[in-house]
Amino acid sequence: MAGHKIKLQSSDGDTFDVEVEIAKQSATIKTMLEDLGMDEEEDVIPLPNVNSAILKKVIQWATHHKDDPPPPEDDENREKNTNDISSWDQDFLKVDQGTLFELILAANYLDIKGLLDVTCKTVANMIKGKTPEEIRRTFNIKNDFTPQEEEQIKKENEWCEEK
Amino acid sequence: MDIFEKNNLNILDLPDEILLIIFNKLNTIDALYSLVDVNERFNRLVFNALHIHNLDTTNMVIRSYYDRRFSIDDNILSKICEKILPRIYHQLNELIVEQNSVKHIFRTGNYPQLDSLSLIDFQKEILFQYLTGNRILHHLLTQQIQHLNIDVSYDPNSKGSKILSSIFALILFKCQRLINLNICQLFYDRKAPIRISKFPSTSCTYSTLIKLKVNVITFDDCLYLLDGRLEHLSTLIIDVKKISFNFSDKNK
Repeated sequence: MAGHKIKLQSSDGDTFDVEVEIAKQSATIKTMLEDLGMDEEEDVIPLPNVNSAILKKVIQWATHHKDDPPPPEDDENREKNTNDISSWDQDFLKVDQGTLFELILAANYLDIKGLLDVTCKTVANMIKGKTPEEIRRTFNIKNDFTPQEEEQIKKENEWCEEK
Repeated sequence: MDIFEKNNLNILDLPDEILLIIFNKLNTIDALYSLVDVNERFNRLVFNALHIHNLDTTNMVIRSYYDRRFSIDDNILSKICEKILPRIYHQLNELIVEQNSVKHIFRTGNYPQLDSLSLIDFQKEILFQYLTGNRILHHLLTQQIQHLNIDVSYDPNSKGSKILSSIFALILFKCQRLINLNICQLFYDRKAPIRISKFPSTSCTYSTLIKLKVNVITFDDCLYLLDGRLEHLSTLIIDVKKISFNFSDKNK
């Protein structure tokens, strides 16, 4: 049987019926529900920072991960591993860069640790192993160093090479 | 048309806090290799916000049970030594180095803040040469290093090598600020043993060591360590390969 539902409203006005337990993966929504005592199905939670297309994706992700154990607390000393993204998440995140960055912003705003973690890992994997020039090409970043700074970088290299 | 194609958000539209979450997913060495000198903002985030105090220049790849490689790619090593270290060597507290990169890394600077050093996957003879012959390493060990981790190439049939015993004695004698020493206990399956009972008792009279992790051949070696020569030692984690009653006359 389906669980109790709430309505989430995107920035562009669309509403989505979502099971409370799925929506509560967002710490932001969980806090709203608890602090404001919103438990009626008619209540609508506005999410002004998330558009309809991204909210739909977020709900899709949260629905798939509804039975996941809570993510571990952040630990600076934990071994950094970006190769542990599940195949479902990999397929889910085969989107253009703009969508990926919107998902990251939405995960951060909604405070969904699992989604923020997997999306940031995906970007980290896009960075890993690339030279700065390849990074600029991959993410369409302009080289904004002044000619003097470029010269300074070259000098530093010469200093090392002479040793 | 896919609605998401309309979206043209760029990575630079993400706030610094999010970029730092992403950068922190990478090992420091990967972040430095790819992100330094991309643009002004990335440089600021990498050098200021990450404020690098420790640098692991190894990358462990397990090929088989006894065959592990720790070297990083030559291109990465080259960039780290030529472009990165000159900018951060003065602020590093901790450094992890393997045999193939050590000569490049210790050529870059004098590491004035460094107090923790890990020397990984060295051949024993080469490690001994570095400990006795490298000027910067000599200065670091005698004047600065408080935490030292040693890992040598592992031979499962070793009955305890003389040279590793000499390295152990040399470290205790040379490292005048050392308080924490891990010699071949970094990896549970690479516990190369040493034979301590061969040491002259004066070799470590002045040791400041408080915590020691070490592997020995016999229980005699263990007793030698506890004969009072390490007067400040409060924690000993020791792997004894063979428990036997083989006390020498002077221990009776």
